[in-house]
Amino acid sequence: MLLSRNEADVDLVEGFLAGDADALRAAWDAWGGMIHRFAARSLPTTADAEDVTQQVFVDAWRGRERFDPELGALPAWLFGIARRKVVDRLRALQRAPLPAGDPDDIRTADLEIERTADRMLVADALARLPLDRRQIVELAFFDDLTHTQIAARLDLPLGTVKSHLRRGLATLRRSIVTERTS
Amino acid sequence: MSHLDPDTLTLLALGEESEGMDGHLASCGTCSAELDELRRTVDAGRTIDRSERAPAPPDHLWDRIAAELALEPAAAHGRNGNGPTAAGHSPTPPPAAAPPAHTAPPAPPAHAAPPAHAAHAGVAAQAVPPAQAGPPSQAGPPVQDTHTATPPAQAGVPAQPAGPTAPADGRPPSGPRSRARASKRRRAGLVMSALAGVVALAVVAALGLSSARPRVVAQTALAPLDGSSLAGSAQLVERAGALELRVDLDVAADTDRYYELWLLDTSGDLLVSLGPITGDGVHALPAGLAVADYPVVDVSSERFDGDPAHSGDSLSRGTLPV
Repeated sequence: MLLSRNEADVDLVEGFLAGDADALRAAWDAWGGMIHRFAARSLPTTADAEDVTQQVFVDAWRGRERFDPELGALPAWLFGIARRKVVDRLRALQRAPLPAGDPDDIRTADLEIERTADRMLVADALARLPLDRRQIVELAFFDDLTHTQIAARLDLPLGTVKSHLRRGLATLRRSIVTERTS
Repeated sequence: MSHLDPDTLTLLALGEESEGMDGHLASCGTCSAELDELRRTVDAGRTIDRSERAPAPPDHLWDRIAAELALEPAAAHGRNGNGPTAAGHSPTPPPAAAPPAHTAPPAPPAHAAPPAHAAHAGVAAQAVPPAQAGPPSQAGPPVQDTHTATPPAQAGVPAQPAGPTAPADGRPPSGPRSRARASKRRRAGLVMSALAGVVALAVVAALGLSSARPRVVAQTALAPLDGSSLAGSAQLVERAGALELRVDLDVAADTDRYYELWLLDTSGDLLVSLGPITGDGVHALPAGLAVADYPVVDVSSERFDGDPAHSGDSLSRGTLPV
């Protein structure tokens, strides 16, 4: 969440793409807990959650050349893999609603998984926003302040607040939408 | 047809400025798709469970991953904050800033109840002039320190006494881009100084939750003060959710005095004793201690006089870049 984050992330992503196992380890440290929790919430047993978490990182590493930083952030990509693994596992366990059939129900279940993933990814990305931007976005999210109210509260020009909101939201959005395009 | 500008879309996604846009949105797939994704982002953001923190991933699971991928042992052992890491590729990784960037718990630290309150208190506090904004330890570092291209963990560091390990010197120089950003932000300096301090605390408070592996959060040399030759080093280490101070010190045995380890604030007004010290050792920090408020590691010489206060006779000091 530090301002140095961008540089550090670039290093991480470059290392990851270059096959530097330390970068995989760094990604594990940063997002392994989140992925694991996501799997644990979505799957019935600890063993399932651990298997899926393991598969996510193993697959991500083996398929790292498919990760395109232009399309989205690394955690979003990892979550895309995790979501597919979770859904596959649920289907294999016959836990998915009506595995044989009703597409609406399946879509609802998938949507719920997607929402959980979105929340975790946005929370993670929010924590990593530059400090000033994050504060402004949090005021808009959690205190429901308008940009005018935020500007007044922080004694900042309106344009500054708008710009932080726009760029902050763009970053958060980038944290969740990659799996759509990949 | 011109599209809605990004600021407008942003405000729409946040639920502001709805009048007059419906017509365009109804007829423009590009803008409405854009808005949909922004709304999805806002919906996710507004439903974040602010009390949630994802736990550190289980170590044994990493072992399984490393084993399945047959990773080299160096990587399989992982990072300890000093070792070769992805973040370590930067020319001179700031010891305090780099590790949390990758190991902060996935749920935002400041979303935890106490830091969140602190953060909002900080936001409110800076609405009044800084002179009235409470003690310096809450208002953050002096304004001149906050040309805010600095990472928060460093921006939150109170002005460092010039010392052998002044950490600000060790961080990579700001690039032209961040300098440009810095000047843009300068006007918001007061605000940011207040916020930076608060979030630095939140970061420190959150460090204890991120990992079970020992990880060096910050370190400093302990330099002898006037008339003393006592030197050594101290590492702030996070282990199993708690912070501890590992001290490496050349202490001469003495029978009528002993040495005591302290954490001080930068003004030297506030202090926390970590107990007597006999040389190298590990000293647990009280849970909940905001290290950013007490970044100065101090070793004092104490008499056996039964007085628990600091003798005023400091032998060695260093400042942790927290």
